[in-house]
Formats: sequence, C-alpha cells, structure tokens
Amino acid sequence: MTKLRVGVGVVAIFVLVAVFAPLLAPYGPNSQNLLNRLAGPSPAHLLGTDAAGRDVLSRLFYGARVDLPVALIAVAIPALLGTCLGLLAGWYGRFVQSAVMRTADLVLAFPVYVLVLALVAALGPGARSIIIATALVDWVIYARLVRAEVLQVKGRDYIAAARAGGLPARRILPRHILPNVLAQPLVYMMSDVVILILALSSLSFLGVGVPPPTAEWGVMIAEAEPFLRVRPWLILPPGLTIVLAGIGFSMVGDGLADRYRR
Amino acid sequence: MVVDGVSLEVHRGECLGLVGESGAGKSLTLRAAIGLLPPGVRAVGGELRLSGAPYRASRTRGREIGMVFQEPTAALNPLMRVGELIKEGLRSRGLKGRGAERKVIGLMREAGITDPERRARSWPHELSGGQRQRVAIAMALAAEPSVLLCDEPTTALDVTVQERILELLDRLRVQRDLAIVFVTHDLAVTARVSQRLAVMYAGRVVESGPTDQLLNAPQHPYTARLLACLPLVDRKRQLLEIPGAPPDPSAYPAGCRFHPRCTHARSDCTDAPYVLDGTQPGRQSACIHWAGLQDQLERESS
Repeated sequence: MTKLRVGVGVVAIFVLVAVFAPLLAPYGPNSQNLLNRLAGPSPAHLLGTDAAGRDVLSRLFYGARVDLPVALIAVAIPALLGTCLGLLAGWYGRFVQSAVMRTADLVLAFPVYVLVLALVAALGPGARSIIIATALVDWVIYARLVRAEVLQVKGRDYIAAARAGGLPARRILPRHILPNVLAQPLVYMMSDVVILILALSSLSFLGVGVPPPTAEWGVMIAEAEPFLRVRPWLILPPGLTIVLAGIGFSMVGDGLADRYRR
Repeated sequence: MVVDGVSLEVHRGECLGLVGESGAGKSLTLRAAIGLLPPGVRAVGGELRLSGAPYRASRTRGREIGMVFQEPTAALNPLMRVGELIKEGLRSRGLKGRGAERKVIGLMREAGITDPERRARSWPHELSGGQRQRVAIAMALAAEPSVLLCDEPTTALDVTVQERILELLDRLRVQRDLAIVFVTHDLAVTARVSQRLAVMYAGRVVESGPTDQLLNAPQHPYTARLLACLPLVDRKRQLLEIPGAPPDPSAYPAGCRFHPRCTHARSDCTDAPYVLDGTQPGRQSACIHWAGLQDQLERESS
C-alpha cells in the first residue's frame, strides 16, 4: 500500500511541475546567457547551466511538459485501441480473433524498438510521429492481455446470467465484461508509461525524437554527452529525472497490481 | 455426443425435476434450452418449442425463458450493485429510468428480499448466500418469463436457506403460473418441489413420470439405486452406493448405458435399443425389463 502511495506522490509531483513549470522555473527554457556557459551549481543556477548557457533546472521543469504528455498520449491511444480489439477478439472468437491475433503476431515478429525507430524515421522526427508509431506497435500487448482476460471472464456465470437476461453483446461487453478485465491493462499502462518515457528520450537522444532546442530530457542528455568528461554533472539531472519518473510510475503500477491481486 | 435423445416437456404452473449424477448431462440439457452451452460444446440437432411454436434460443433469452444458476456468488457480477443488476434484466423489455427503479424494488420484494430499497444499493459481496440467490431469482424474473430454468439453485446453500428458496420458487410457480425445470442431484429436493420427474443417466432420460409415483415405485433400476442411496429416518436399512462410476461421454457402453453397473442386468441388456417407452399413463421407462423390476425389488427388500 505504501508503494502505491509513494508512487502516486512521485507522479503527482511530476505532474504539478509540468503544469506549473512557467511559475516554478527561475528562467525560460531557452533563455541563453553565453557569458555563463557550462557553469557548475550556484545559488543563481541551482543545477548549473548547459553549453548554451541555459539554466538546467528550468529546462528540466519544462522538459516535463514534453515528456509526460507525449508519453501519456502515446500509451493511452494503443491502450484504448488494444483493449477494444482484445474485447472483440475474446468475445467473438473465430474470425475476429484470428484476424486480430494474427495481426498481433505479425507486429510482434519485429523487435519493438527497431520497428518504432523505422516508423519514426519514415514519418519524420517529432512527437506526433512517436505517438503514431507506438500506437501502431503497442496495441498488441493490450489486445493480448485483454483477450486472455475476456476468455476467462466470458465463462463466468454472471456473464451467462447477463446473456440469459437477453442482453445484447453491445451491452454485455462494455457493462459486464470491460469492468472485470480492466485491472490488467490498467496496471500494464503504468509500466508502459515508463517504457515510453525511456523510448521518447532515447529517440530524442538518437536525433529522431523531439528536435532540439526543445527542452526535453533525452535532448538534454544528448546535449550533455559531448561534455561527459569535462562537465560530468551536466548529464546527471536529466538522467536521474528519467530514473525518478520511471520509479514513480513503476511503483504506481506495482501498487495497483498488489491491490488487484488481493 | 454427451447428451442425445432427450425430450422434455413442461407445462405452465408445473415444476419438472431433472435428476441424475454429476456428468449425466442435466445442466447441458438445461443450457441447450436457453442457448448458453459452455465453450467447446455445440448443439448439433434438436428442436425447441414454446407453446407449440419452434423458437430460437438466442431470440427468447430474457423474454420467455429465464435462468437461475447454481452458485449465486458466481452468477452476480461483482462490480455492479444489486439494483443495477436486476435493472439490466428489465432492459430487454424496454423498461428504463424511474419506472424501472420501481419495478426493481417490486421484483426484490417478490423474491422475498427484506428492505429492498436499501438492498438495491448493496454490492453482491455484502449479501448472504440466500439473499444472493434471491437477487439472482429477481434478475431472472425481471424479463417476466413463462419458463424458469433452475440449475441446482439450492446446492450451494445450507439446508435452512435451501428450504426458504424452495418455498419461494414454489410460490412463484403458483402466483406467476411459471413452468419450472429444476435440475438437481438431490432427490429429497426434487421430491419437495417437482410434480413430474425425469431421471437422466449418461446423457439420456432413463425414466420419467409423476414425482410421487416415480419415487415410490421406480420402473428403472437406476432410479431404484438412486433411491437406495437416500438415508431415511423412519426406515432402518443399509445405505447402498451404486458400484462403479458414470461412464465417460467418449465411451458410453453399448445397449443400455446403465447395464455395466446394474445388478439386474441380463444378457439382452448389452444390445438393448434406447427407447423411452410408455409404461403407464404419464410414465415412461427406458429399461426393457421394467415390468419385472417391481417384484424383484420387493423380493430383495424383504
């Protein structure tokens, strides 16, 4: 239970920072001071400045406004899509199931990152491409999860009772099946946010994600990398931020899983 | 073929008991009638008639035919409040909103649920087993069915609660002129609720007739053996189990399917064709030696 609380707390802090970044950040994300480049931490710049003389702390705050929404949207779309397809596949079986599951197998046959990278490269860099690319790949996991759950729930007597009551599938699926299978995709979504934050920053690091100079955690790591030997502390703030966000969402997911398993 | 050649008939205001061991095909027969066969089981033939007219199970569900399940806990969606659950059953009749809510309370009262206004807001897990089964019955009644299929509705309940539920079903049968098919493996229960009885063994009906006649003078050795398994307070005798186990549906014995376990079996039982023959008005037996059975049973018990 404490796991869930701590996780929710961490995530809440990230959300608040993202929402109130303009108020919290001491400087603008792109306001440069070329006379004060690569400075170490000081009262004026708590986390120092980067190669362009921009305040690292401010960029971290503004980065949350890019990473979090993009990651959340990039998770929500495939989760929604996959859940719907999984529901249909599990309920109708036969042709629908074959169609959905064989398509899923097809997607799974490719390594996830390679596929996303290829899609992003084809669509052109940017957050929109990343969202589209993950939606095309990630729905598979939700569809498989939900289908397996539906197959189980479908055999329960309360579903038989709902059918005996003459309810049509369009009523049974959303009202009787969905609430009983929702726990699994919900828990997975939390881990998925972590994966997506990592994917987003990796892609940005590789230069196919969010284009610089946007304040984004992966971009910041990429920009700090050339100075790894001379200014090692530059890479730590964005790196640790990603780790912390990952831990926060993971703990929420873990806590939810514990809760549903009871 | 797990179940075949089963033909049942039930009239309004009548309760037909369907008894037999586990795996005899009672529940499958019942579920076939409402088109809710479990995954992997298919109806390959047969006919359903309602008031003489053929019907499709998928069309009649929630209108003419309702069903009550064995495990009330499993039959109530854990994530819906009791009132909502019953209201779902009213949808097939187009009842929504305020009218539906009044009707829900009415149904709960009819099913003998005390304090229905408060109970309608309860979650299924907050109720006792008997209350849950009453909710399940109210759900089945919501569609105003003329036929109620009961799949061992009292098996999961303790004896006092069981009796209350049986009373309730009896009352509903009379008040609503319901036709009830009551599946059970408990002869005492069926003696209590049903007017007619059909005994199933290995996917077939082996004997049927009025409950009292059938229990007092069975015309099939299987029925006789089932009765011998019942403990009776007023009669001192040894309890006899039926030797062996019911056959596997993939390997039913030839001839009379009961003959390997039957103490009365003769050589011609191994290739006896299955015919459910009339023996007396209203009674049928599938035993080719039914005529001599009663004498043999009396000789045995004396």
